[in-house]
Amino acid sequence: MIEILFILSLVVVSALLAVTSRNIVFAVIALLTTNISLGVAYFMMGAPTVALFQLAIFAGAVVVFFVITVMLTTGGDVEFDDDSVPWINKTTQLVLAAASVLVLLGVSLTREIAFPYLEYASSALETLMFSPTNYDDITTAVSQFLWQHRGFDLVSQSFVVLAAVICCIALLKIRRDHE
Amino acid sequence: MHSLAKDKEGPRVMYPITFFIVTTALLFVFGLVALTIKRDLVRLLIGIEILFNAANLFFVALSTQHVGMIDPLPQSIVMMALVLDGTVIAVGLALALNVFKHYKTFDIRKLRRLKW
Amino acid sequence: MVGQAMIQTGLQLPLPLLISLIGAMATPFIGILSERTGMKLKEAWFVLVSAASLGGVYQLYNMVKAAPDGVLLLYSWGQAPPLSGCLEIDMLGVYMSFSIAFLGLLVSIYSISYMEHETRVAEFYTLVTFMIAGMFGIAFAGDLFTLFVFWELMGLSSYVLVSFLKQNWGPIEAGFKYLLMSATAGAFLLLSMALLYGLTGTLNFGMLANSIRGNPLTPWTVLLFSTLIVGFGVKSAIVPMHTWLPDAHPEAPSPISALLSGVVIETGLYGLTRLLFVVFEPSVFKLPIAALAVLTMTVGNLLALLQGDLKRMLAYSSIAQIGYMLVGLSAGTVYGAQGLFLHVFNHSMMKGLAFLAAGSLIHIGNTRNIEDLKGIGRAMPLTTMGLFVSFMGLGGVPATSGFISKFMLFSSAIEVGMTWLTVIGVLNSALSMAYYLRVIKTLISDPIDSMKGLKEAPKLMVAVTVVMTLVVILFGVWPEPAVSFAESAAEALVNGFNAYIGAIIG
Repeated sequence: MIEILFILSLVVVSALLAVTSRNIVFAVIALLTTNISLGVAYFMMGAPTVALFQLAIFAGAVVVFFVITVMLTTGGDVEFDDDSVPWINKTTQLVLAAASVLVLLGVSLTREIAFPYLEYASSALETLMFSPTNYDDITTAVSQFLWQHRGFDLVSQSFVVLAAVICCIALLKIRRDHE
Repeated sequence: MHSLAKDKEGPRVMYPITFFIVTTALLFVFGLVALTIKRDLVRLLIGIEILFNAANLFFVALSTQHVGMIDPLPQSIVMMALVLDGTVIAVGLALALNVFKHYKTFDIRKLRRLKW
Repeated sequence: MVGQAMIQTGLQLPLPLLISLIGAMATPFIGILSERTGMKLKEAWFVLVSAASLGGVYQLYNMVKAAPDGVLLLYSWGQAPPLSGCLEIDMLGVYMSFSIAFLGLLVSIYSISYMEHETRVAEFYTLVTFMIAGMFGIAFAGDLFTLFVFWELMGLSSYVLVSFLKQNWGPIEAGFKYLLMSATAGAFLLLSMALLYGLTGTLNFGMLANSIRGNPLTPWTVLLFSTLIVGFGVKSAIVPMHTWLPDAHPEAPSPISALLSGVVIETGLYGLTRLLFVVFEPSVFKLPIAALAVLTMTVGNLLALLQGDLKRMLAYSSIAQIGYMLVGLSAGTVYGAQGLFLHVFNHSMMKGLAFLAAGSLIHIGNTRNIEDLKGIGRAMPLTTMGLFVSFMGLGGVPATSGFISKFMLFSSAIEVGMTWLTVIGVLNSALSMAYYLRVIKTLISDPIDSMKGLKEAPKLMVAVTVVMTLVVILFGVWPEPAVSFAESAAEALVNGFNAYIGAIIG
């Protein structure tokens, strides 16, 4: 119980730092921390494949994109520091972080928010819910499900990735005739 | 993988949904506040990423709500959603790079020409 | 062989979707080929793909009509829904795809001439085709996540198309704003998906309708309702979430403005309509949607009145038109939905025409400011005539198609006892005529010096506007085909519900 709360506090604090840090490089590193700790949280919650994707795509590829963008442009120079919110400094960041951890721990440990899980489920509901004995079971079941049942979405999704590639080409292509 | 399989605690743990609801709510608040007060293109995209993370966390949390049971449906959906969100961020960063190439800044305030 | 079996049992895709996806994939290669050979291969391919998808829609129409319950269920690799992703096509899906394909074909012909002097044209055509494919997918989807995948396909292509003319600051900022707001909405859509899954254990529309519909409201379902409104509302420019639209539409190239305003925001509205009907009873969403309708049309019309930029004014007018369509949704009856979808088609024609005609004027006059375009109408009579007809239609003047759908929308509100909504709607319509007539008056008054000696737009662009003008008038004086098509679509949405659910649960 305590370990997931620790990870979730880490997620919340690093997300807070990611949006408040004045220096963009710190912000990106905080985002990386958020994504990695979320990956760990997914693993602990019993979703190893999602954790893998989280680490590979959000903590890997996306953060690399962020780093490339920042380093190719401002390079994290103090000149480009964000001062749009004047009252944010080290002290207020600390206060905010402490406050959000307090909220997280306080609400989690004292209250119980009931979610009506599957309360409205239809009588005809089919589900492939199963009881795993180890992580291998989950990995197998999820990847099987993904290929067998979600093949349609998987194929459509590859078109989205293709469209994104074309988008980036259209945006970043350099043509001599008008540059 | 096999060393994990021996771990008795392993995947059978169910954490109360309250933890994840509170975390999701906090992350959504951070993301939305960042989107409204920040004026730097890269930081705005960081806010978007935090919003995506929040929604995914809630989805995964729901997949484990039956004690000792796992539902593959939300997990496989979150896996695909991760890829889709990644493409959105990538295109957003390409746009931001384009802005910087022409104007040498990420700050929208210095560049705002469009009326609201 | 597993692979062989997979291909044989197959990934069933409906023809329009298949054609536009394959067409989009092939476009970059054809672009390279046409650069090498110096022929206009990519233009021909682009128009061919658009025309073929329109043909595919016709074939789909016949298939859906012949299907026993009027519902066509397509899924992959022999795995039946509800667990798997699927397409579930009913008459409403066919209707939406027809609107999309028809405007898509006209816009593709127009953009050949419009984009002639731009670079990266092959990428432009690819992205337009992907955007259209995404919209087809949304219209056909039978599962919320399948819808979301195509939603992202449409979204990604449209962000980049808005900022396509990247040399200028305007398009880039508009595109970025659009991306930010839509991505936020995407996060809300994911959250609503999580909530729906948590409450019902499924994301399939048929199963959802079978489970959650008709239950009393709880805080969680209210949260679900609001996430759905935010998730779909941003793309369909419902008022508190509309701020991207007046930037994105004017800055985009004119063919893209026509597509965005003509079908993309309506596809968002389609998603909202489908989901609300699937998840809630009409009595639940009646009042909130009516409130949004009033807000949307009033704000849209008032702000349109203040604009000096022709395309920006048209963009605000699109927001107002979304408000009129929401009236039909809030009525929640077959008649209301019929008015909604008839107006979707009519609006796609009228606003498409308005943006294309305005695009021609701007192309020739080289400014978007209405005052600076003073008198250009004398040099470009056909284009200005098209703009005039579309404005009459948008204002709801009889003998144009806009009159019929607006009439249906407003009378559907009376039918369910919301006379106040009708009164506000009619007042708004009258208000909107003020800015339409102001533009026409400026365009046809004595030309200022810079507008003298101009010629009519290129032939292809004029031809498209003339065709669309004729369509708007044709469906104004002879509305039966469109009305009955819209009626069967609305029937499928509201009354064909059991067939829709039955196809999944069987």
